[in-house]
Amino acid sequence: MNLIKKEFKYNLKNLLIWITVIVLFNLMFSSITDLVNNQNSLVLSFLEKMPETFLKAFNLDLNTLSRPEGLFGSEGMTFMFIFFGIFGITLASKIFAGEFDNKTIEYLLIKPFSRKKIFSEKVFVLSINTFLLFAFFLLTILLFFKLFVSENYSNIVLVSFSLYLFVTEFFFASLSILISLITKNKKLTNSIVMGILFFMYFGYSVTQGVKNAEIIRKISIFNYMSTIDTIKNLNGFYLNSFLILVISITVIFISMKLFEKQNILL
Amino acid sequence: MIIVKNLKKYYGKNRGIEDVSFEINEGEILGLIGPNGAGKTTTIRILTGFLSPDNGKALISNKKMPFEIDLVKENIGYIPGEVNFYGEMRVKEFLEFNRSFYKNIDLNYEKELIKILGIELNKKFKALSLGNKKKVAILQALVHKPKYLILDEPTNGLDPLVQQKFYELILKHKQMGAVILFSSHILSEVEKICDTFAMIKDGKVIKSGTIDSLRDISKKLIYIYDLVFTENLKRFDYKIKENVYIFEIKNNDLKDFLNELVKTEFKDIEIKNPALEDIFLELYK
Repeated sequence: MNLIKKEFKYNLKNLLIWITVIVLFNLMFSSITDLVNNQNSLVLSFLEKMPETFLKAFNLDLNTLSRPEGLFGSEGMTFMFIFFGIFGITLASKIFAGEFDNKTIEYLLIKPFSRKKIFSEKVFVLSINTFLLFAFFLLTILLFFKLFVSENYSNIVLVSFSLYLFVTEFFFASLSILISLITKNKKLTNSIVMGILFFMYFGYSVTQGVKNAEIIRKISIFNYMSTIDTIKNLNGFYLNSFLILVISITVIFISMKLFEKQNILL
Repeated sequence: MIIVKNLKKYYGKNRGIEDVSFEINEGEILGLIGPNGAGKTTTIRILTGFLSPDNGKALISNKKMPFEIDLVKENIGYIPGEVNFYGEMRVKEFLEFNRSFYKNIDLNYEKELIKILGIELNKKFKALSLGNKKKVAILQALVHKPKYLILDEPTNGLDPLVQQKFYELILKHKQMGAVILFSSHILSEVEKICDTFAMIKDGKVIKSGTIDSLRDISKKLIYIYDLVFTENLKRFDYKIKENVYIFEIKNNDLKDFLNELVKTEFKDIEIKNPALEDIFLELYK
């Protein structure tokens, strides 16, 4: 058993639980999509009476709600963004801050592996885990929509949603790595980065239509991966997603440099 | 060779070490002695690459620590003061994990160490007692037959029987030419196995030299109950407390004192090591 195998082994149970939750969630949403769409005229006429700002705050859009991807894009994706963000945060803090919490970092750093190699192998395991959750989401959402949704829908939209979720988990995982190395404490890291996740997500959605709060939306990554606009345009924000991934990789690179140089105080 | 010269490290405003210097040659064991908080662990943490010094230098095989630690890690064996391994891992999994870091591990030597130390392989690490955790720590530090051994209070938590086995192992590695730094706050164990010593207090080395010169400093407290006091015992330092004679005998004079003692009558005898702090106080007198 080497470092990579050890990390996979001790995070496997966690990954399987999260995959199960995500798959069941996709199954639930896909299976009710037809039912909700067939009966949504009453809901739409009710929602038409609501102020636009109110609807935006709950990520609701009348035009997109009438499409099969609309229910998932407006409601399902709210949960998914949070789920994927939390998965990235907790996994990264376990892999990095966990070594400081358990004081096993002392053992690891005296073994004949450079700090760079230890860091890289841990990031590799983190990336594969985040990719696997994304892959299961993508495969099951495509499969369940094919099985349960009878109306026409766009696979491009579903693939874009999956991409946004991967970007979200990777972005928050990268922040969690950096904060893990600064705080060297798993619980504190989780609290700080989850705080940023909730601030970014709800700061983006709740302030929709509020002009004064534009700055909050601008610093949120979710502003650049709008699910409503994706459904409207039937096209994803690929460049934005790519740029957020570049930012995440930059944060990981900074974390590696910090890890290479930092004093280990236990 | 390990060279530590004028090493200084502060944690913000708090002192870690102020001025620590010593050298350890091949086939030599240096005892780094000092009370808790003296700076032993800070010195070790610089040598093991965990901390950067503010001043001075720490060299292992002429490589500057912590900056060139990767060049010598293969040849370092380290026993931490506080043993922390992966709680969920079984000991046999841990040994497999530990093997993955080294190119060539002598499996026969690993088996030999397991047998000598009496390590239980199937238990999870979190289920082990402090002493058993320490045994695993000893194994992972010695199994790759390192040239440099850095031991931070390695006998803490070990029972006397295992302690003895551990000393034998360390002496075996010494014969193999290892350079050994042995940190301890127990003077008697340093006297037992080290060749040289460095006494550290408040972050400074206050005395160093060969182990024979340490014997001039170290002493035993000998409590003798219902002693029939004779003139010959007068030349040794003593005090009387509730009918108990308490002699302070330097280790170098111990044989002489015991020879005098057997010539007289007493009911019971207790031999104790004085607290390290008391010895340090004497040095400052």
